Amino acid sequence: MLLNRQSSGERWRARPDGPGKVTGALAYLTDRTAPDMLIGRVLRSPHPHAAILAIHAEKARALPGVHAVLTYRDVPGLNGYGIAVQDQPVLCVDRVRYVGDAVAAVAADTDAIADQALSLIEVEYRLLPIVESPAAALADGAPLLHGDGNILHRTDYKRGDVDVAFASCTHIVEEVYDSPRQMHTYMETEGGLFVPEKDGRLTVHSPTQHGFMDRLQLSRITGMPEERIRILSSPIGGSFGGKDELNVQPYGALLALKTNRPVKIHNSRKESVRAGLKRHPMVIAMKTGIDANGAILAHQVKITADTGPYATLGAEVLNFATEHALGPYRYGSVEVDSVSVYTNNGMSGEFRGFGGNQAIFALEGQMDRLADACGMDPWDFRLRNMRESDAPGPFGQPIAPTNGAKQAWDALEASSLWQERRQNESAATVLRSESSGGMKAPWLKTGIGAAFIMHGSGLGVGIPDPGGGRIKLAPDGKIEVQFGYEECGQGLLASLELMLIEQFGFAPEDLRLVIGDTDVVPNSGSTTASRATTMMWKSLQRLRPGFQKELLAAAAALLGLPEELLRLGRGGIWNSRAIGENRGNRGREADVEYADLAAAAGDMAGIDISGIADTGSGNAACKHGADVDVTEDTEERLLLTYRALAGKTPRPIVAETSFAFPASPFPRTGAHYLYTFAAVAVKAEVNTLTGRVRVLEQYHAVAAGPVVNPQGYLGQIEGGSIMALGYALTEEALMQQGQYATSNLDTYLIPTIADAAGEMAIEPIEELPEGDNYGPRGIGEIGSVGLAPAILAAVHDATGKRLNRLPIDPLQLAERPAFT
Amino acid sequence: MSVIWHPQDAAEAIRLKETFGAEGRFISGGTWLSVQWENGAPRPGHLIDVSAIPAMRGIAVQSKALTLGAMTPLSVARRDPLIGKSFPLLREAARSIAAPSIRNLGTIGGNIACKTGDLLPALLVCDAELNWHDGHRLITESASDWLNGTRGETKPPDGLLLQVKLALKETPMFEGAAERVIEGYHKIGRREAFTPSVVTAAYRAVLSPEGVVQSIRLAAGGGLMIPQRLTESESLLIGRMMSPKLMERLYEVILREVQPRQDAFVSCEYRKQTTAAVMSAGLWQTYREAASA
Ligand SMILES: Cc1cc2nc3c(=O)[nH]c(=O)nc-3n(C[C@H](O)[C@H](O)[C@H](O)COP(=O)(O)OP(=O)(O)OC[C@H]3O[C@@H](n4cnc5c(N)ncnc54)[C@H](O)[C@@H]3O)c2cc1C
Repeated sequence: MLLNRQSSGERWRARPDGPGKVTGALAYLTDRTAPDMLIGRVLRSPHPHAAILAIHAEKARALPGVHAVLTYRDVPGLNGYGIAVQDQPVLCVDRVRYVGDAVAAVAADTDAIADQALSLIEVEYRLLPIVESPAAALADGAPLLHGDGNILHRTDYKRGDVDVAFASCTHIVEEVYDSPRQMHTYMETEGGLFVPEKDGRLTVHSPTQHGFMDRLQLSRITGMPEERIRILSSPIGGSFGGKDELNVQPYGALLALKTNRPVKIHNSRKESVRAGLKRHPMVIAMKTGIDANGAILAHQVKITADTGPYATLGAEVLNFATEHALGPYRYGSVEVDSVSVYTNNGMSGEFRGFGGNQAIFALEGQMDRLADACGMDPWDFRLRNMRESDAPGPFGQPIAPTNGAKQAWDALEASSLWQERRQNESAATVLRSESSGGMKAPWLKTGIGAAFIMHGSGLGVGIPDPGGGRIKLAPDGKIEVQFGYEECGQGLLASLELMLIEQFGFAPEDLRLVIGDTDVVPNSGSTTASRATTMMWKSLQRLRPGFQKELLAAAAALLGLPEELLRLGRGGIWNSRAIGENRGNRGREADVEYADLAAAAGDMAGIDISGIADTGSGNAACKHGADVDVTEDTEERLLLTYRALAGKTPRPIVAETSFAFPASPFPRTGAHYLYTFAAVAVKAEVNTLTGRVRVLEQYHAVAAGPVVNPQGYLGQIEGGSIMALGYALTEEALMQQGQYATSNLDTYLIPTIADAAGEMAIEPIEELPEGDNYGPRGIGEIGSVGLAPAILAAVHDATGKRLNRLPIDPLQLAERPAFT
Repeated sequence: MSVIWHPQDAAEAIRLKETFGAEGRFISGGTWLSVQWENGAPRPGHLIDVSAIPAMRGIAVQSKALTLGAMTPLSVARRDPLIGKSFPLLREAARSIAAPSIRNLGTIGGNIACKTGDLLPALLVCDAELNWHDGHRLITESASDWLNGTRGETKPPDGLLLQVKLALKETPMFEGAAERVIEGYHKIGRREAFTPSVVTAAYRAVLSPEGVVQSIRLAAGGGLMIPQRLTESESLLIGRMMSPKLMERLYEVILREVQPRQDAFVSCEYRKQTTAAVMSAGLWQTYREAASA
């Protein structure tokens, strides 16, 4: 069934952070100010590659209104950061390696003074040759960007002997796929407010996907113990992986500590473009061979990623791309060789899809070409080579059994869009032109294409992947739920709220959701890798029995009733639903005040519980409700509010859980255990006069287990696919000689609503294999992966042209018009 | 920081401009200027805000011509029923520019005076005339002559543009037997909306009932290119009968004649090819649609 507002019924709810976001009342962290605050700014290198000979900051320091000018000499702790490897200097010492490299930081009374101060800092540079591309970086005699060379990471995977296998192939397809540097383009650029507290602690109000990682990194840089730093990290105005790594936090923190004044930093869009992370541009060469029956005998892949000047998660992204270049297919022999290379281009790093987007763009391109080669339908060809449900993962690693691949395949096959393509195919004359106005515009050609996606969630083998959370009855009677995950706009709070309502029976007003504060929440890992929803679901599953039992036991003791007759509900503890339901009664809201008062007075006789009391054995009532004879006036009643319960319980009621994201018992770093599968079909129109492509219709089948929150699910798949639309058609952070040609959103073009027009049907496949208790799989990334290759397939269907580069270059599709 | 002046009439505005020379700049909506500044252009010492000058405001119909004040916002050009009815290409051009907030501020005059505005190809094929105040007197010049006179220079005009004048077509005496007008405006960007143009192309042809081209205007622009009339391509068509073969030749001549400018994102080759394609195919398609109607 398609997922939409209608089919979601009552589960379609206004999200808790919705009204604030829609009205603009909600303040993001970068909207915060503090009395007496200073403005922080960073001086960045104008050069992609240069030696620093000297930094003269005296003039800037002497400027009235300037309170601090920091250079590398002023970094008390480690002058380096990076989630995985701390090789990115906070403030550069003797060399700059890209145009975002920070050389100095300034705190001043106003933005204008800070700006002037930056212009007064004199840095003497000696220009060094620019390493413009991975090819240049790997060439003999290339300038070395780091002590140990220009290679950040290499990884490979081999099974069988591809050379032998190619020799027996009937068809071999070779292609090189080129993917662009894509920008996250979050609405809220990087920034924050950094406040030194009276007790000597530092409070950081700054968006990040992992507060505890920021705390650790800032502790290294400032030399302060971690507990002395508090990170407030939600709500976030979009992140998409881009704010997982540190950005302005080191400068804000150091300036605040130096001046002992609150400091605010907020990047302009230009500075965000210049300094921020991007998706890795990759060149992926694939050679794949099949036998006469269309079975893949050999698959050879070479991935080269442009990781920019420093590591961040470049190695992990490469590992992911390596795994996903294999995907859900069966091969005789495989060989993947991957390398991530340092250059003087912009920073590449974590980005929704995490290297899968590039790999699957290439892999799906191969599948279409191979189907062509052997004359098979492209979708049938995929099925021909599809993994079995109990097959191991791409690296041969044990994974959670899943039939997701076949389910997604079947769903797409049955979709009306794909059926339309099948009909077009079988029709004697294929009509590929659409009418415009009165007559057929002969230059408009439409086609339908599809792509398949297998996407791993979680961080994978060998990387700490903690999960967990806490739930408690707060003294004020709120059910307080604490998670170390962040609200980046993805709807995490809405999903959490709905899970609490559905799994526990709470009402929204009973709840206080606490996230994004390292002083309060447990460390449950980063909000990344499509893991947060799975982790929260699992946490709640683990927390529920204990927490529920404790609440009910406490209530039972207070009410003098058997626990079994009580349940959690809106506002407090109710008599068990079993009785009311069996008698066909609908619950009614009891007089809360009355229940409260009665409870407080301990006057249990004053509460109407006759319906329950009359049943005698509570156990019996619970287990065999239908058989129990209860009095006529039995109704569901609120017996005790959470507030009253909180006031009465002798000790706090808290449950906490921590565990690790499920991982494969396999010795290969990054290999995944849980996978989500999806299939995308798209109808696109190519204007052959202009070479421009428009997407007319999309269909997404996603096999990710139960839909936790319908609105969030739709939001993720639709939003992800719009991101992929940009990736396919318009988005490229173009660099020339190490400088961004796209310095802001005038030239870096994300899709508008006019580009994203057209129908989008989304079909969740909720069924999981029997006994699967890993719960809902993450869907935060998978929507952003498949649309680009599906568009390329549709373009081929429309024009007969196979493209190998993103974003699509219209010149390749433009044709000389025919005048008939 | 610039000093902002608010002259109340054209003469005063011109005096200010003469006083400050290159350091003084007219500003209408300021939308184009702000893009320049954002991209690093120096801010002038003096901004001469021309929005209060009465002669530059409003839309008037006089003696078979429509006169648009230079201060007319793009959003008005997009909405005004008379413009829409008499000059649909102009409306279409205004529709394709920027986004609502910018169309509310940005003006027709600023779009013309910046020399790369997307209105220009439409104005060229409508034979628009420009009324300028050059400091001494009023000058009327066709948009085409003015653009040719700039010889590709991007420096801002010294004079003050007061109005744009468009001749209103006479209503044909006999419906049906009359000549046919086929016209079109195409803006191709790098995305569907709110996009700088890569190619803008406008055409307007008057055909005899038999399909012979009696008058023709072809104009192209886009990106940093200063829009131009394609006179060689026009002369190819004039007096000739519409036919596939003629269109093939038109495609070739446009390809040769149009002089686009490339930037980091889009090549000249693409711009030439696309201009030639949308113009020749657009003309042909509109002609065939009109013929079959
Ligand atoms: C985000 C964005 C998107 C845009 N997209 C487009 C687009 O798609 N297509 C497009 O064509 N333009 C676009 N523009 C540019 C601009 O908005 C329009 O060209 C607008 O019409 C300019 O008018 P203005 O009144 O704002 O001009 P201003 O910025 O005030 O002036 C522009 C130039 O003309 C001069 N000038 C202004 N008025 C006069 C006058 N009366 N006489 C003599 N000289 C004068 C100024 O000195 C300046 O050199 C865009 C701008 C922005 C900010």
